[in-house]
Amino acid sequence: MRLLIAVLALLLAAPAMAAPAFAAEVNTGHLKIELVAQDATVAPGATAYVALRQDIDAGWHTYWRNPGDSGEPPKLTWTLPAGWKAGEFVWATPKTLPFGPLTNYGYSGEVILPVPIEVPANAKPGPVTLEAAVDVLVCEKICIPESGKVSVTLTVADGAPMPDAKWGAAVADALAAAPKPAGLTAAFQNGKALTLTVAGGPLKGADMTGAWFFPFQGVWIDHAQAQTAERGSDGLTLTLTPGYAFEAGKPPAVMDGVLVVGGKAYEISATPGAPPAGVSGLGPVAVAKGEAAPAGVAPKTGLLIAALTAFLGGLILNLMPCVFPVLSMKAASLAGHAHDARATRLQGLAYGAGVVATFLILAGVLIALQLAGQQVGWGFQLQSPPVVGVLGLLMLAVALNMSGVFEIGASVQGVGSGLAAKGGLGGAFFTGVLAVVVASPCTAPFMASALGFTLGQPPVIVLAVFLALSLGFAAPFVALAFAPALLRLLPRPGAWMDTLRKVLAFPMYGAAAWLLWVLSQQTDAPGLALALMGLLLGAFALWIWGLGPKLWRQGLALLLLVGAVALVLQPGSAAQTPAGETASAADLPSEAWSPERVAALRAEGRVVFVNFTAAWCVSCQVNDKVALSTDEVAKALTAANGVYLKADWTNRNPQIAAALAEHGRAGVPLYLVYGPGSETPQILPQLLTPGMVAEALAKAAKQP
Amino acid sequence: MTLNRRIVLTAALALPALGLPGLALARPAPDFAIKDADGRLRTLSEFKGRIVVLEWLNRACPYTQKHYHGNMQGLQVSATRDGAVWLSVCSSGNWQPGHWSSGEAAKRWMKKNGSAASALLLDEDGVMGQAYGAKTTPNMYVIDPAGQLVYQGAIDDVPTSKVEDIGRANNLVAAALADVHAGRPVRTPFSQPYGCGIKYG
Repeated sequence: MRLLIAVLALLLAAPAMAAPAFAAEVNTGHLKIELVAQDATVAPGATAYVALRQDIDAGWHTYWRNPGDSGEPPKLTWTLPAGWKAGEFVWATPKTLPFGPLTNYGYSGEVILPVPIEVPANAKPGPVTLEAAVDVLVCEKICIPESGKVSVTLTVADGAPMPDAKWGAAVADALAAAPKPAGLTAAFQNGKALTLTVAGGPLKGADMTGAWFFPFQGVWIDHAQAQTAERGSDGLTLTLTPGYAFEAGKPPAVMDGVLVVGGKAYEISATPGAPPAGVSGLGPVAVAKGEAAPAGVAPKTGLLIAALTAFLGGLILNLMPCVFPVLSMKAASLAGHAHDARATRLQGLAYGAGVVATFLILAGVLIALQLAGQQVGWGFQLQSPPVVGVLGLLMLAVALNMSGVFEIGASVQGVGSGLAAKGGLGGAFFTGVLAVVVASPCTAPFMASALGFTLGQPPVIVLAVFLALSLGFAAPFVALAFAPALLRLLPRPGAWMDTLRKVLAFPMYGAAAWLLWVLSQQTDAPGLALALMGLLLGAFALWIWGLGPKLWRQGLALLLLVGAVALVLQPGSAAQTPAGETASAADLPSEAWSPERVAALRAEGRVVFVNFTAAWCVSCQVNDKVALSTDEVAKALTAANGVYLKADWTNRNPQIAAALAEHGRAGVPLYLVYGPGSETPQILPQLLTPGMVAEALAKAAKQP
Repeated sequence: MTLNRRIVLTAALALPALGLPGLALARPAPDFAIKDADGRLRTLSEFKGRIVVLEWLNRACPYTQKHYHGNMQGLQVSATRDGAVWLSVCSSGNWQPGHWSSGEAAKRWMKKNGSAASALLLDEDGVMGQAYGAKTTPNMYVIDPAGQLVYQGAIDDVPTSKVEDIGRANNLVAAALADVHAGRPVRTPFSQPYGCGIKYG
C-alpha cells in the first residue's frame, strides 16, 4: 500500500523532480551512514534540510541526544563553503533500549535525522558539496565508535526547490514526524515522588498507551526505572524516579524533553509547580513496556489492512458454531418472506442495522472502559456470570418460541403471514443484535489481529475497524435479501416451514446448553443450580404465556419471567479457581500462568508453552481437543523438557489482559512458546495442529 | 536501587542537622567487600580516613581505552601521590565483554597498561556496581576521608571516545580531589557519566 502511494506520488511529481543529490556513504559493518537531502536544488537565502541517515544492523543500536545511562549521540562536524551554516539535528522520537539494569535511549533499524542548512543569499548557482566528519557510536553488547567522512552535493538554483527523487519524501516525513511543542502545559514536583504532569489540547481524551518521558538531560531522572502513568480528562501524570540532580538538591529550573503517548510524541518543557487541572483521577494508563513506537507510523500503514481483515473476519463469522443457531432462525424467517421481495429487503436491512448498531455499541463500551483505564479485551461481554446467565435464558426463550411453545404478538403467528408488519422489522433488527452478542466469543480466530491493532488506537480508528467488521458480518444476509434469484430457489412457504422452524429450535437449545457450560466454569455448583432454576421458571412462564391471550395469564407469565431473570442474575464469580483445575484428566498436565512463573521457569532453562484461553472461547476449546490433548504434543513437551502454563481468561483478569495487549492481542486464544535462550517467544497461529505445536516445542528446545 | 534510595534518605535526614552549606551531595558511601586481582578481600572501611577514588573500567570499552592512553594513569599517579587510594572496579559479568577470567589476567593487563591504581576489584557479580549505581565505563566516584560520597559521574566534561578531546576537557575528578584537599565543598558534585554501559552479568 505504501509502495503504491509512493509510486503514485512519484508519477505525479516526476516533472518537478531533479536527479538525486549525490551522496557518499560510509559502511562500517554494523551500520551504514550517509548524508541525504530533502531538496536536490536549493535557492540562495533559503533554509534547506539535509539529513544523516543511519541504516543500523539488526541487534545494534545508536543513540538519541540524551543517550540514557550510557552511550553517545551521533555528531556531525561540518566543512562548509563560506557563508553556509548548519544547525542542530532535528531528533526523531527515540525508543527505550533496556540493557540489564541500565536503560538507553536510541534508535534501531533505519533512522533519519534532518539538519537545517542556511544557504547564503549570495550563493552562486551550480553544484555545492557539503561535507561533514561523522562520529556515531554503535552498540550491541559491545560498543564501537565509528567515524568517517560523509558528503552530499546540492545544486544552487533560483526558484522553488526541487525535491530529491530518492530521499526527499523520507526527509520530509522525518521532519513531520519529529516531536514538536504542541502548546502543552507541563509541571513537575518532587515530593514523595517526582511527578511530571502534562495537560493540553492534544491530550484531551487522547489515547495514552505507552506514556513515556524522554528528558533532554541525563541527570534529571533514573532512566532505567519504570514510569507509571495516570490519566485525567485533559492530560496525564507520570511518576518518575529522580536522578542525580534531585538527589543532590540541585533540581533543574526547567525540565524539558519528549513525551510519547499513544504513538504520538510532543516536545514539552516542564517548570516546577503545582499540576495543571485534569491530569489524574481516571486510572492508570496501559503500559507498553516503555517501547514507544516511532511517532505517527503505525496508524497509517495498519488501518486499511485492519479494516479489510475485520470485514473478512465478519464474513467468516457467519459460519462460526455460535452464530449458526441465530442465523438458522433468521433463515427461517427470511424463507418465510421469500415470495415478497420488498418485505424481504426491509427485513435484510433491519437485520443489517441491528448488527451494525450492536457492534458500534460494543465498540463504544470497549472504548469507554479502556479510556477509564480498565484492562479489558474482546470477549469482555462474556466474562460476567450474570450476562452469561441472561444470555442462556434468552437462548432458551428463542428456542421455545421456535418450538411453538409460545408466540410473540400477532405478526409472527403463522410463519410467512407477518409480511412487512412493524413487529417483523423489529424482530429482524433484534435478530441482528442477538447474532452479534452471541458471536463475540467466536470472533477470535479471524479478528484477533485486527482487534489487537485497535487496542491503543484513537477511538475513531477503533470505531472504523468495528464498522468494517459489522458490515462483513451483516453482508451475506443483506445480500441474500436483495437477491431475488437466490430467494426464488427456496421452496414456497407451506407446512414444511413449521417443521423447519421446529428443527432449527434445537441448535438454539444447544446454544443455551453451551452458555450454561460456560457459566459452570465461572461459578460454583449452587450458582449453577440457581441459574438452572431460573431457566426452568422462565420456561414455565413462557408456557403460561403461550396458553392464550388472557390478561391474567400474561400478567402471571411476566411476573414469573421477572423472577426467572432475577434467578439467573444470582450466580457470582466463584473464587478464582486455579487455572489448571478446570482441565479434565485427559488433558495435558498444566500449571497456572503468571508472569513470575514464566520468568522463574525460563531462568531454570525450561521451555515454556503458554496457552491463553477461556471457557467461552470456542476456538480455544477446539484447539485444546484437536491439538493440545494429543499424545504427539504430550511427547513433544516431555522431549523438550517443557512446562505447560494455562492462563484462563474465563473471568476478568487484568494481568492476563495486559499480557495479551503486550503481544498485540485483544482476546484469546494466544499461544506462546519460550525457548530458554531467546528473549521473544514464538507466537503460534490461532488454529493449531498437533504437528505445529510439537515442531515449535522442538525448535524452542534446540535454541542455545 | 533500594540501597541507593536508603542512602538518599539518610542523607536527606542528616543534612539539616549538619547544616553545612554546599555539602548537598555528601552522603555515606556504601561499604563493600570485594576480592581484588590478588584475591584479597577489600572493604571501604579499611581506608577510613583517606580519600578513595573509584573507577569503573572495562578494557574492551573504547571510552576506557580513550583514557588509558595516559590520562587515567596520570590521574592515578597524582591522586595516590597525594595520599588517596585508587580502586579500579570491573563489574563485567562472567562471559561479558571486559570480564577477566583470573586475577592473573587482570594483573597482566594492569602491568601492560601501566595502571597505577592501588588495587583492581573484580566485581563479576555486579554487587558493588549496583550498590553504587554505576552505569558506564568509566564511571568515577570520589569518597572523602569521612566516608562521604562527594563526587560521582563522568571523568570529564567532553563525552566522546576520542583521545584528542581530552586536551580540551575539564577533568571533573581532578577538580573534586583538589576541592577535598583544600577543604572546600566540591563545586561540581555530580555529572552524567558517559561511556559504554556496564556489562552486568
